[in-house]
Amino acid sequence: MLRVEGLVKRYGSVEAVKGVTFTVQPGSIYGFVGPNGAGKTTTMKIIATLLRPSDGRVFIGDVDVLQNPGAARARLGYMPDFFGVYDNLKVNEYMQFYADCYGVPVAGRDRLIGSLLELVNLADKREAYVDGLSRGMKQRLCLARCLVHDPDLLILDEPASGLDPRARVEMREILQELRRRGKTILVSSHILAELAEMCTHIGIIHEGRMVASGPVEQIQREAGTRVIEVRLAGGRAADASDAAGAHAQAGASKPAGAHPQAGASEPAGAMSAEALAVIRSAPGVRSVTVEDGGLRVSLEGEDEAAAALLAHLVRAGLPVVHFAELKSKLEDVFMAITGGGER
Amino acid sequence: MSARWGFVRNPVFLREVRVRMRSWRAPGLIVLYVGLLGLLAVLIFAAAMQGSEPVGFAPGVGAIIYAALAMFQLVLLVLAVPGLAAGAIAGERERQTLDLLLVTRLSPAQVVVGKLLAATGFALLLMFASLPVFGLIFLFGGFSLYRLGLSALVYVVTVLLLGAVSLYFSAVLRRTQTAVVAAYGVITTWILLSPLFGVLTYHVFFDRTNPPVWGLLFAYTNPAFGLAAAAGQPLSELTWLYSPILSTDAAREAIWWKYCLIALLIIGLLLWRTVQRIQPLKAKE
Repeated sequence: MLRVEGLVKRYGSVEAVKGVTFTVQPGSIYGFVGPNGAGKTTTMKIIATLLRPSDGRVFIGDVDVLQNPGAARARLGYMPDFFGVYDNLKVNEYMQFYADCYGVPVAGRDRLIGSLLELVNLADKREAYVDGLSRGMKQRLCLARCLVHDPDLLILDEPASGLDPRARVEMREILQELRRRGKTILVSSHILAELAEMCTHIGIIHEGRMVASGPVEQIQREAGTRVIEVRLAGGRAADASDAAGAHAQAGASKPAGAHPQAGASEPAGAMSAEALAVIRSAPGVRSVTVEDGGLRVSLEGEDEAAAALLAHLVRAGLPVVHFAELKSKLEDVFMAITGGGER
Repeated sequence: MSARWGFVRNPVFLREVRVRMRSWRAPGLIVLYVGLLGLLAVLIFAAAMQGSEPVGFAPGVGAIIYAALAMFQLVLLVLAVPGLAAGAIAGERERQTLDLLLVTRLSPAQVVVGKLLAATGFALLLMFASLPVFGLIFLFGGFSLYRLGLSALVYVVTVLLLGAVSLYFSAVLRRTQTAVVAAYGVITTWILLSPLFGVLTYHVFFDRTNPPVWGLLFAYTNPAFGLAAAAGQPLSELTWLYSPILSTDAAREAIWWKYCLIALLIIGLLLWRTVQRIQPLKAKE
C-alpha cells in the first residue's frame, strides 16, 4: 500500500531524514516510533504531499506521490500533529466544507457525514460549533475529516498527543475499527505504550534513520531481548529496590499498572540484594529490574538460555515460585535498538 | 471534481462567505459604509447650496458630489481591502489549517482564487451597496451612466488589484499582522507617493518639452488616476498633472483603460506568484 524508498530531507546543512526506507502492507497498522525530532513528522509530511524530499521516492499503491500528488491525495487522509479549526463553523458545516474540497458527491453526503460522526462518537455534536469542542473531540473530528473521501491510507501524526487517558483509549478503539474496515494506517507517536497494543507493524526511526521496520514480533525478536519474570518465595530486603535500580539498564519507567496481579500478592522491594547479585551473575543476563514485587530479567539467547537461567537460580538455592517469559514491550525493544536514547 | 467546478463553486469562497455573513459585523459594516458615503453626500450638498436657492437641475452640484463620493469610495476601498485580504493565507497558516486545505483535491490555484473572491467579494458588496447613494445624484444631473459604468469598472479592477497585492503578502509573510502592515504600507505609500513622483518627473526634474515616457508608469499604476480619467469632469482635471506628455484629452482619458490593463497584468502575475508560494511540492528547500 505504501512504499517509501531512500527518503532524504535536508534543511540547509542539516539532514533531518537520512535515507528512510520502509513498506506498509495493506490493512495493517504501522506504528512509526521515534523520539521527538527523529524525523517522523518530516517523513509523514513528505508522504502526505506537503513537502518535497531532497531525494527518494514514495508510492501509494502504484501512484508515485511526487509525480502525481493529486492522485495520491485522493487516496490518503492526513491528520497533522498540530492543527486548528475555523471559527464560527458548525461540525456539520466543517465536514461539508472538506467534502466539497475533496469533491465528494452531494448525493448521499449527509448520510456519509452522519456515519463518520457516529464512528468518532460525535453524532450528537453535529450542530455544535467546532471551536467549542474539547481537544479530544477536535482530534476525533479531524479523524472523521480524513475519512470523508474514503481514502485507503491514513497518515496520522501523533493522533493521541495531548489527550487524556480515556480519549486515548477511544482513539485506539476507533483506529482498530478503521483497520477492520480495511484501512491501512500509518500512525506515529513518541510514546511507545500508545502504539504497543494496536500496531501490527512498527518502524523505529532514530536521528533520521530507520533502525528497524517490520511486524512487531519480528522487531522484538531482532532486538534479541526476551524478558523473564521471576518471583521468589519469602526473601525480604529493605533496600532491595535501590540495589535493583542500580543494576537496571532497561525498562526503568514502565507504565503504571503493567502487572497489577503481581503487585497485589508481593510488595515492591521484596528481593534481597544477594538474590539480585546471583541473577545478574547468570550467563546471558543483560539487566534485572524489580517491578510490582517481581523480578524482570532481560535475557539474551533462545530457550536454552532461559532453561540455563532457571537451573542457575535453583542451583543457587533461590526459592523460585514463578518463572515465565513476558511478551517484551516496545519500550524495551526501542531502548535495545536505539541504544537508550530519548524515550 | 473537475477543475472548472472547483473554480465556479469554490468551497473556500463559499465557506468564508458563510462565516462572514453569519455575524452582525458584516451588515454592520455595510450600514456604516453606506452611512459614511451618504453623510458625505449630504455635507457636500449643503456646502454647495450655501447661499443659493434650491433648484431641481443643478449639474454643477451633481458633478461635485459625484467626484467627492467617487474619491471617498476609493479611499474606503483602499482601507478595507488589505484588511480583508492580507490575513487570508497567513491566517490559515497561523491557525494551522493551511496544510489540511492543501492535502485536499483543491489545487493551490483554487485555494488562492477562493481567498481572493472571498476577500474582494465583500468589498464589491460594499461598493454595490453604495449604488443608491450614487443614484441620488441623478436628481441633480451632471454625470452620465456611461461615466458611472467606467468608474465601476475601475473600482472592480482596483479591488482585485488591492486584493491580489494583499494576498501576495499574506502568502509571503508568515504572520497575519506583518502581512497586513506590509500590504497597507505598500498600497498607501504607492497611491500617495506616485502623484508626487509624477509632479517631480513632469514639472520639476525633466524638460517639459521633452518629458520621459517612463514617468507614465506613475499614472498607469495609480487607481486614483485611473478613476479620475474614468469619472470625467471635474475629477479628470487631476490627469492634467501628466499634460506635458499626455497633451490631448483623449490621451488623458485613455489612462483609465491603460490602468485597467496594467492592473490586470499585475493581478495575474501576483496571483501566479502567490500560488507558487503555497504550492507544497513546488520549491525544493
